[in-house]
Amino acid sequence: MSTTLAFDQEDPTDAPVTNTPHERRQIGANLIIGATIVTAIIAAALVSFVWTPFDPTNIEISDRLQGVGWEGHVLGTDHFGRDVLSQLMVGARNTLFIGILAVGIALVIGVPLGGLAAARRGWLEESVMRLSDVMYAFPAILLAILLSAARGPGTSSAMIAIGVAYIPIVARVTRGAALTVFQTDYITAAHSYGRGKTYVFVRHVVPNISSVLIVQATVLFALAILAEAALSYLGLGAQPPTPSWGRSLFEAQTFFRLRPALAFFPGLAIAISVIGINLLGDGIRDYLDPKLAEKS
Amino acid sequence: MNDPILEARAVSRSFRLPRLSLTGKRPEIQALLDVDIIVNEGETLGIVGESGSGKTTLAHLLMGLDQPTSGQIQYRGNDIATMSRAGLRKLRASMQIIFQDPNASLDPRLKVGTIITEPLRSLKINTDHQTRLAELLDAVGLATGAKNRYPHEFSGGQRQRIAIARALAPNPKVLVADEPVSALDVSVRAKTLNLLQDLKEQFDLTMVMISHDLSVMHHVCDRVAVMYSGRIVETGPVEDLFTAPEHPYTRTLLSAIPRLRGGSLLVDESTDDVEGASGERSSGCSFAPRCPLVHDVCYADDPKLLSLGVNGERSVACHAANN
Repeated sequence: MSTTLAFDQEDPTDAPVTNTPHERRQIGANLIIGATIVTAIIAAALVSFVWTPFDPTNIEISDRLQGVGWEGHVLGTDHFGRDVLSQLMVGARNTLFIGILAVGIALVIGVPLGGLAAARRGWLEESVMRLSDVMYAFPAILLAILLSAARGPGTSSAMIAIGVAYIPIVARVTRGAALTVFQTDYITAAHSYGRGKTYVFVRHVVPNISSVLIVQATVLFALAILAEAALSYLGLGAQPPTPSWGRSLFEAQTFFRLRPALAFFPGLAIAISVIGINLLGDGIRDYLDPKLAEKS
Repeated sequence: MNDPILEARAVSRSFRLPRLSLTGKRPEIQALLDVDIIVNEGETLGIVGESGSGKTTLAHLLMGLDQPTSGQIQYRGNDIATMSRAGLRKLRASMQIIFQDPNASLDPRLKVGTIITEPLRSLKINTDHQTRLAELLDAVGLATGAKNRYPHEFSGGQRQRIAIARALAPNPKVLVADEPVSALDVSVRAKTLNLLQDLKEQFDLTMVMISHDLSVMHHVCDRVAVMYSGRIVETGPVEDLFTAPEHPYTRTLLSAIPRLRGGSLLVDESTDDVEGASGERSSGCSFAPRCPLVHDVCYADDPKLLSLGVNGERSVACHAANN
């Protein structure tokens, strides 16, 4: 036969690979630090259901604005004499609850919308994307004010407002990532053995864009915490006496000259949880990706 | 000669591009124009042509993965477009495809065992999936342990064999191989081609082999169709086509095969990329701007694919050759 095909040599790559993928997977530092922080916040929130150092809503005016470590108040007391640590612990519940549900709303609606746009193309894609542009242009704060006017201010209004505001972001990211995956040969192969677009999206596309989605979800979770703080700061979030990090921060502002530490702790709690969640997201992405696991 | 198993009749396919301006019409690319082709049962048909000539579009149409703008694709005499759901499922099982790049044709998130048995689940084929998986892995020369690993743990040649195993899973009659070796290392190309040859015998397959590489064609094909700019310009048995190419484009392709000790070649090398290879089409033969044998008639009149000789095995679309 033709000369170019004459050399039929042994495939040097045929040697068996001994390691299984699971032995190679490594847990990165990001994952450990992130998981530790997030676990600590969750633990604080859970513990607060059964025990807090003091009653977080107990007002003791005579003990107001005490410093760190005063009479067993580890982080001091606020302007009503309430224990700051207890308030932060209970506030973690509020923060996690809003974060999880807001991101949940955004994912549950945004991912199918983005997938639909990527799978169908044409006018449907255009309408979904233009609709999300309109929603994207609509600030979450405004939505929260509208919802508060309609249903009254509170945790659930803030949560829905944040979640709905994030739908277009999730839809966009999903569509962008899914478009690339829909072009690949393994999708064509799946069609060639009779799989429909819905199945292909759930089975092949979502797992392959999961790293993007996980990172996006953690970024949004962190942003939701900030948004919740901002809304509570404006009085559109959790209502008194329910403790909330954002409102603690807002109330501490008045006494900033007198007791800067009062603003420091809620701010620190917000910052640490945002960092922790982002690290956790990065860590999970690295852990889930078989290719990255191989290289590490 | 055996009966035709797949047949394309006057198939055209055009793609619309996004509009260039708000008011303008959407430009169209004519990927295939009036293509007639017959795949006979048990043969290996090669489709050769440069990139952009419509080979892959034709393959997708033959597989029923895409619908022609006009014309008909028939599987054993039945029009694919009018098939029932049950008929389509059977069709899906009887035609499978392997792709050029094995890195892109295997879902990186699934284990090899899952990938290979996926067609069985999709098409609801009631065999013991594990037994079938072991058979298939054995047939393509991979160890049984491969099923628990991920595609990225394998070399390019091994991945292509995984893709072949998946394509063979539903026991297809027709295997379409879209440039099956061009993404592979030269050292494993011959091996993969030999494997395909062996599997063709073992599984009683009809193959459609798409390539831009004529030496690959020579190695495996019984018959070859040469495509240029969305149409078939020459068909014939592989030996005849190689020894006596009629269409000037076929000659150009043959002269491009690298040889260790080459004599002087038929066509000069100046027939590089000129306009005309793209989808734009004016009147006349689309090869005319590149053709060394061009006449006035070539610009005026588009040559039809006409059969040559007595047995009708060869046909060519060229004014120079038909006269």
